[in-house]
Amino acid sequence: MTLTPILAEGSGGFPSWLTPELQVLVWSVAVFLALLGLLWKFAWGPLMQALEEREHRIAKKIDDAEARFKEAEAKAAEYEKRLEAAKAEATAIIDEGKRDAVKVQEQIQAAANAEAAKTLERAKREIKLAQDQAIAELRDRLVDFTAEMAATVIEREVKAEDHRRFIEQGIEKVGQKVQ
Amino acid sequence: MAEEAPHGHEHHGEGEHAHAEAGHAEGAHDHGEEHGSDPMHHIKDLVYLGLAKDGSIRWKPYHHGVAVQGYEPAYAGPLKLEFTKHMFNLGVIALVTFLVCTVVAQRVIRGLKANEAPKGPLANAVEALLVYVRDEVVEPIGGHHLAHYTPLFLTYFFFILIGNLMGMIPEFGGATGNINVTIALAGSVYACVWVLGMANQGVVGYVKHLVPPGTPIPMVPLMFVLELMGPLIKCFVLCVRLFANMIAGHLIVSNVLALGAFGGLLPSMIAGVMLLFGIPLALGISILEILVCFIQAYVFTLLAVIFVGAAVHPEH
Repeated sequence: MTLTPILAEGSGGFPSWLTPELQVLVWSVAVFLALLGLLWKFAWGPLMQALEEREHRIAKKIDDAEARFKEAEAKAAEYEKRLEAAKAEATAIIDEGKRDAVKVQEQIQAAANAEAAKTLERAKREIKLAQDQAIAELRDRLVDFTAEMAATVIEREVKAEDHRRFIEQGIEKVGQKVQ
Repeated sequence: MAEEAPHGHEHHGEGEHAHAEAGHAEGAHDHGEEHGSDPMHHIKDLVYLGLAKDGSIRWKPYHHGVAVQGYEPAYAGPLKLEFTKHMFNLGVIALVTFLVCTVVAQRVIRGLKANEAPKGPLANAVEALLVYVRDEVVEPIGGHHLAHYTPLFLTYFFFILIGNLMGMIPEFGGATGNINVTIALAGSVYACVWVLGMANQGVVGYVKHLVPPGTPIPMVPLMFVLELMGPLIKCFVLCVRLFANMIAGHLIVSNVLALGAFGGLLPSMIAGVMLLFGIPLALGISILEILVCFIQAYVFTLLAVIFVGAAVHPEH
C-alpha cells in the first residue's frame, strides 16, 4: 500500500507526477528565460568579453614579441652584412695600399734610375767638356809653345800668318795622333 | 523524506481521495487536505497557492507535503492559475544560480581586468569551465558562430546542475524531476535549433539543409519529414532523459526508505533490520545521485550544443 502512490492516477490517466501541468511548463520557460537574460547581462556576457580581451592582449603580446624577434633578426642580418662589407672594404684598402706601395716603390726606383742616368749623362758631358777644354787648352798652349819653340829654334821671324798655318798643320797632325 | 511511519489510511495520490478535515474546510469545493507522510511527496508537485473558480484565493503556508487541494481551479486559457511547489523551487533555483554565477563571474572579471590570474578555487573553476565549454565543447561542435551562444549553454548547465543538486535537499524537492520543467528546458533547446539555425543559415537555407544534398528526388519528401521530426524526437529524448534520471534517483531512495516505513506495519524487529540496511543503502544511492546530478547537467548541455550546433552548422 505504501508503494502504490507511484501509480496513483492524477488527471488524464497519468500518474500524478507525470501529469502535464501547463502552468508549470510556462513558468519554467519564463524563469529560464529570465535567468538566461540576467546571467547573460551580468555574468556570462561580461565574463566572455573580459576573457576575449585577455586573449587579445595575450595574442597581441605574442605578435609583438614575434615582430620584435623578426626585427632583431633583421638587424642582426644587417649588421652581419655590414660587417662583411667592412671586412671587404678593409681588404680592398689593404690591397690598394699594397698596390700603391708597389707603385710608389716603382716610381721612386724609376726616378732614382732616371736621376742616376741624368747624373751619369751630365758627368759624361762634363767630362767630355772638360776633356774638350783641356784639349783646346792644350792645343792653344801647344801652339804658343811650339811657336815659341819654333821661334827660338828657327830664330827668325816668320810672318805670323805662316806661323799659324804651319803650327796648325802641325797640331792637326799631333791632334790626329792624340785622338 | 519518507523516514516517518505512514499514518495508515492517508496514502493517496491526489486530492480526489482526500478527506475533509474539521476546521480546514473552506468553501464548497475545498474537501480538505492530505497529510504529508506520503513517501512520494519529494517528487510530487504540490499546489501552494491557487485561484479557485469562484474567485477565492486558496493558499497554505508550507507544511511537510501538504498542498492546497480539493477545489476547482480557475483557468486562464489552458493554464491553471496555481502556484506550485516546483514553480517556487524553480524560482529559488534560478535565484541561487544567478547569485552564485554572478558573484563568481564578477570576481573572475575583476581578476581579468586587473590582468591577474583568477584567485580562489571557485573563480578558477568557473573560468576553466567557461573556457572549456567555449573552446572544447561549443566551438569544435558548432564552429565560431555558436561560440557567441556559449552563455546559453552555460546557463543550461548551471541551472540544471544547481536544480539537480538542490533537488537532493530533503523537503525541497526536485524541480528537475518534474516532467513539465524538463519539457520546458528541452523545448527551449528545440526552439534554439530552429531560431539559431534560421538566424545563421537564413530561413531558406535552413529549410533547404533539412534534406541532405544528394538525396534522390523520390526520397526528398520522406527525408524532409524525417529531418523535420529529428530535432523534435531528439529534444523529446533530452527531456525524458533528464526527467527520468532525476526522478529515478528520488524514487529509489524513496522506495528504499519506504521499505523501512512499510516495515513499520510489521513486527519492529523486521522494521529495524530493514532500516538498518535501508538507510545506508539510501545514503549510498544519494551519493551516487550527486554524481548523476553532474552527469545529467553535463549530458543535457552537451546534447543541446550538439543539436543546436548541427542546426547552425549542418556540415559538422
